Parts: sequence; structure tokens; C-alpha cells
Amino acid sequence: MFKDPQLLLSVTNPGFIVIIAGILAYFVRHRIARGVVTIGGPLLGLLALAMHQAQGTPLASVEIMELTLVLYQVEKVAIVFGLAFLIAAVVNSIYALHTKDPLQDSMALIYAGAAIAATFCGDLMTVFIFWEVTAISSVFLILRSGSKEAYKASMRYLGVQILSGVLLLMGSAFIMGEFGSLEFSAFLTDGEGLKLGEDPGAIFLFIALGIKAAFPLMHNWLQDSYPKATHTGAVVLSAFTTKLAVYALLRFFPGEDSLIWIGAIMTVFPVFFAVIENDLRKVLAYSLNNQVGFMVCAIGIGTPLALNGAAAHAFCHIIYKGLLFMSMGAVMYRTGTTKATELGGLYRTMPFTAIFCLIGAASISAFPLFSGFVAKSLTMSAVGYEHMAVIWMMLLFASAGVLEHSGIKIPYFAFFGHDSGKRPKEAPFNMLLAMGIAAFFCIWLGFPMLGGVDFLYGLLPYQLEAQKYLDQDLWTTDHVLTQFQLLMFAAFAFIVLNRLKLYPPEKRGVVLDTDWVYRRPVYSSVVWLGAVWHRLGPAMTDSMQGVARRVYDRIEDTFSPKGQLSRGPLSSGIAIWTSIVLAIVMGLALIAGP
Amino acid sequence: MSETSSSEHQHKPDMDSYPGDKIFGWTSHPKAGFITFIAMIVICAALALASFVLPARHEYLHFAEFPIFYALYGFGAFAFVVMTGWPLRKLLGRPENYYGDEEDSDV
Repeated sequence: MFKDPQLLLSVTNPGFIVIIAGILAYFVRHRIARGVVTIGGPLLGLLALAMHQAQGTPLASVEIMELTLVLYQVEKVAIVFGLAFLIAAVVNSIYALHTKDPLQDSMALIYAGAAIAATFCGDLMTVFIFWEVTAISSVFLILRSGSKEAYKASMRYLGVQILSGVLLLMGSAFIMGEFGSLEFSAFLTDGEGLKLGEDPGAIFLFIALGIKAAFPLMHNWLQDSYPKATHTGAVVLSAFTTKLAVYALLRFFPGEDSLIWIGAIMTVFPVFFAVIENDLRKVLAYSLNNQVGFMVCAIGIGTPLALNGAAAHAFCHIIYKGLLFMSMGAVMYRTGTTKATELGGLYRTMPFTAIFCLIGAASISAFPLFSGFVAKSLTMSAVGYEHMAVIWMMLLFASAGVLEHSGIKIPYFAFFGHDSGKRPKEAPFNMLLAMGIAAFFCIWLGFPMLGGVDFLYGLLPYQLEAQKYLDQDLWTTDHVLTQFQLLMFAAFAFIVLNRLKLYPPEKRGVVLDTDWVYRRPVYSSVVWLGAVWHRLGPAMTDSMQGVARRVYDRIEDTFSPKGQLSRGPLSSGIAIWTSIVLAIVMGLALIAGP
Repeated sequence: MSETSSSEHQHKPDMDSYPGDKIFGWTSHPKAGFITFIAMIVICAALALASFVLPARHEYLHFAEFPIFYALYGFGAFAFVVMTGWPLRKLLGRPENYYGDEEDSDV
């Protein structure tokens, strides 16, 4: 096999190629040579994906400790996500060509490669391994911005991501116990996912994915960390973590009813935060939440049309959200800030960046002829077909909200609005090229007769439904007209409110979110307990030593090689107990982090 | 580490024209706001009119069959979101150093 590169490429997980390129990139100190590696790696990955031998069967697997790790398995739905990840990796590498940070370039590729590898594997243990690699490698994209608050945010981020991994491992342990294997083929049959109330361990998996997908009340790690990443790091982060979780939800929990409401709430609540947020990259982070909500809701509905919608939305979203983050990254790079209060009027000297931002804004707003329209329509129609009136109204409300924060607020406050007096130079050529490629995809995928819509719909997992929708529903006069009505009247509302001075002016400051709970009261409680402990310490030393000794004996009796967990049927629960302890430790680290 | 070029390659502020003026210069015209306002009224009126002129459409949710349902919903939803921004900011807005460090300070 190794003598035949073509054969080798056809059975190699594209993610591995990208990871190897990432490792290589760290050692290549010459910037241009590193650029060749960082762009060439994902391109080679694309080639490998194009050459894959077969779908639905393991193409590469290994046996480790009685576990079968399916390292490469291509499924129809995985191609949608994997292809989008690979395109994003190429574009992101071009975008970061001007940087002089081998570590960041390396980690960005390893992170992307791990997400791709997880997408194209066929068992939970391999997913877990790459799940953790994405968590650890992505931290560097926040850390490398070098500020104190970025450091703190990256530690909180790491804690949350590792906790997600621990829960994934716990869920995997239960599934191993129930099905005797971690291979997808053992517990996912005929497109049926796990059942929350029936399958042991499903709840742990569900929460693990929920954390990564930033479900409501588990979402704030995203707004906390992404805006503090480097100007290139935020672009990379926007593409992979949440969409990997969406992919996993699509594989493991299609048709899970609770996802319908979770997704609908996800689409609505960030809209309110985004309107008062001053940092435009944080606005995009809320917008990311909102967009993932559409996908989660579609997965919950679970019909072929809805699942097509989730996959198509993810594909387009990875590209247009990346484009918006790139445009804000360019603004950050040139002006040193993305705060709306300090920006405005940048179109004068950054016209190309402004144009690309507007294309991204039109796409995410789902204007007809742009990619968001052809993707989001599938989900909206699927909800309508199921006669879910309240959910449909919520998603429609969120669609108007998207226009507010991503369609208007982002370009208006950065490039138009009041003149900040800033006259920065246009973004570097490589940034413009990356934005141009992403903008091309936004138009190509959304404009009829260019072939992009057929290409996108041809990728979707349920072909019959996709083709029927494309032929009968997508481009009807009614559909296009009503979408234009929704968006143009919403834009008109912006103009009216602005003229009446009813639009809240941008103000410096922070907006409280769920992170307030662990950054204020919980943190204060820990500090207070620490102070109390310090004062009572001498008096309590003897009694606490006794307690500690008993606790130690108990732990030894439970966890030691001769302990209870090693006896009889409980020995299989070792992984679970370890996970619990690790989860508690990580939880404490998270709380103590700020 | 993070790299920015905020202080380098700045265009001189007193220059009369900039590359972007050719495409977007009209947005800075004193009457741009009013002209956009009028243009949007015309566009929205045309879109609303189209709903009445075209044959009644079939929707899976019947209440959406009302001719200008999407227009009203879009306007209403947008206005609601923006107007809730006022009380929400009072409720949730805090100074930048609320968490004890220069939160979100740019690097």
C-alpha cells in the first residue's frame, strides 16, 4: 500500500494529513515555505477526500486494547461537513499568511485537522481523542493574543472544553457497556440515533455535544473566548468547534425532540444580547450562537428535509461566518480594535474589506441570491411542513434578528455610520484573497445558474428530498418575494428607528451574561471560603487531618488495585469513576479560574 | 503573539479623496440618509403591492397567507429587538472593568 501513493491517499483520513501539515508548520521557520505547508496540507486533504475508496465502510482501522478504532470512514453527511472544514482550512491558511507566528499557524492546522479527523472516523473513542485535540490546540489561538484577559478566558475555555470531553468519555463508557462496542455501526442503525430516555450514557453524550454546540446556558464560553482570540485565531475558531458538535448531534441525535426547542431558543436569545454589545467580534459570537440554533432545531425535527437543512446550513455558515470574522479580523489588524464606539467610516480606505463584509452580511441574512437563502430555506420549510407554528415564528423572528446584528450592525458600525476619523490602510493582499474566495463561495452557492446551488444540494444526505425542494420550492416567486419582504421591511425598520434616534447608541462597557454566575458570586464564594479556611486553619488542623486520613483510606479502599472498583462487575466502571473525578476537578478549576 | 498594524500605513486624514469614495462616497453625502429613506419606502411599497397583485400563495401555516404577513413581521420583529435594547442595556450593561480587569481590552 505504501508503495502506491494513490492507494495510500485513498484510505487516509484527510484530517490526519492536515494534522501532519500542522506539526510540520511549527518547524518550518521560513514564512513562505510555511505558507506552502499550511495551504498545501488542506489541499492534499481535499485530494484525499476526492479519492476516497468507498462510503459507509471502514477504510482504515486499528485494534488497541480490545477496542477497534475506525480511523477513516466516509459517510454522505460527513462529506458535507468535512468538505466545508477543508475549504475553511485552506482559506484560513491564506488569511494568516502574513503572520509570523509558527506556533499559531501550527495549532490552527492541528485544530482544523482534528475536527476533520473526528468527522471522518467511525467510533466514539476516536471521536473522543480528536475532540480533545481540538480543545487543546484551539486554546493557543486565544492565548497567542497575549493579553491578560485572553489568558484568563483561554483557561476558562479550556476547562469547559475538557469538561465536554470528559462527559463524552463517560457517555462512551456507558455505550460500551450497553452495546459492547464503540463503533457507530454498533449503536447507530439505519439512520436512527441514540434515545435520550432509553440508551444509557446518551444523556452524557448529549450534554457533551450541547456544551460544544453552545446550547443556551452552556453558551457563554463562546462569547467569552472567541472575541479575545487573535485576529486570525477568531476566524479559525468560528469554523470548527460548534460545527463539529452539530455534525455529532446530526449523527447521534437526529429527531431528538428536545433539540427543536433548544435550537429555537438558541436562535432567539442571542439576538437581544447582540443588539447591545459593543465589541463587533462578540456580536459575531452571539450571531454564531443564533445560526447554530437553526441547525440544532433542524436536527431535532429530524425529517430528511430538515436534516438536509442542517447540513446545508452548516456548510454555508462555515464560509459566510468565516468571511464576517475575516472582515472584522482585518479591521482589528489595521485599527487595533473592533469596538463599534471606536469605528465607523472605514469604507474610505478599506473598500474591498467593506464589500466582502457586505457579501457576508447578505449571506448570513439569507438574502435571495446568496448562500444563506438556499440553506436556511430548507429548515424554515421543514418546520412549516411539520406545522410547528410557534417554532416557525421563533425562527422567523430570529431571521429578522440576524439582519439586525450581522446584516446591518456589523458593516454599518465598522465601515459606515459616524466617521471615526480612522484612515487605516486596506487589508493585506492575502487577507483580501481569502475574503475574496469566501465571498465567491457565498455568491456561487446562492446564485442560480452558476452551478453552486446544484453542487450544494448534490452533497446533501437525502438526495430525493433535496432535488424535489430545489425543483419545486426554492425559487418560487412567493418564496423569494416573502423573503425579500421580511428582510427589506426589517431594514426599513432600522432606517426609521435610526432617523427617530430610537436605535440605542453604542456604548463602551460589558454586557452581563451567564458567565456572571461563575465570575462573580461563585468566585466570590470561593474566595470567601478560602479566607474562612485560612482563619480557622490552625484550630481545625487536627480534626481535618483525621477527616483527610479517613477520606484517603476510603479512596484507597475504592480506587486502589485491590479496591472495590477492581472487584467483580464494578471493574468495568473504572473509566466512569475516573471521569467523575476528573469532571469534578475540571469544574473546580473552572470556578477558580477567574 | 498577536500582530496588528494599527499604527503603520495610515492614510493621511486630511486627504480629500480615498479609494472607497468611488464606490461608497455617496453614503457620506448630507442627503444620503433622506434619499435612502425615500428609496426604501418605494422598494417596500412595491414589495407590499406585489403581495396583493400576485395570486394568493399557499402556506403550510395558514396565518402566513395574509398578503403582507412577512413584511409586518419583519418590521415588527426588528423594531421589537431594537427597542428592547434600551431596558436591556440598563439591566445588563456594566463598566468595562466590571470583572476586575480591562475586559475586552484590545491587544
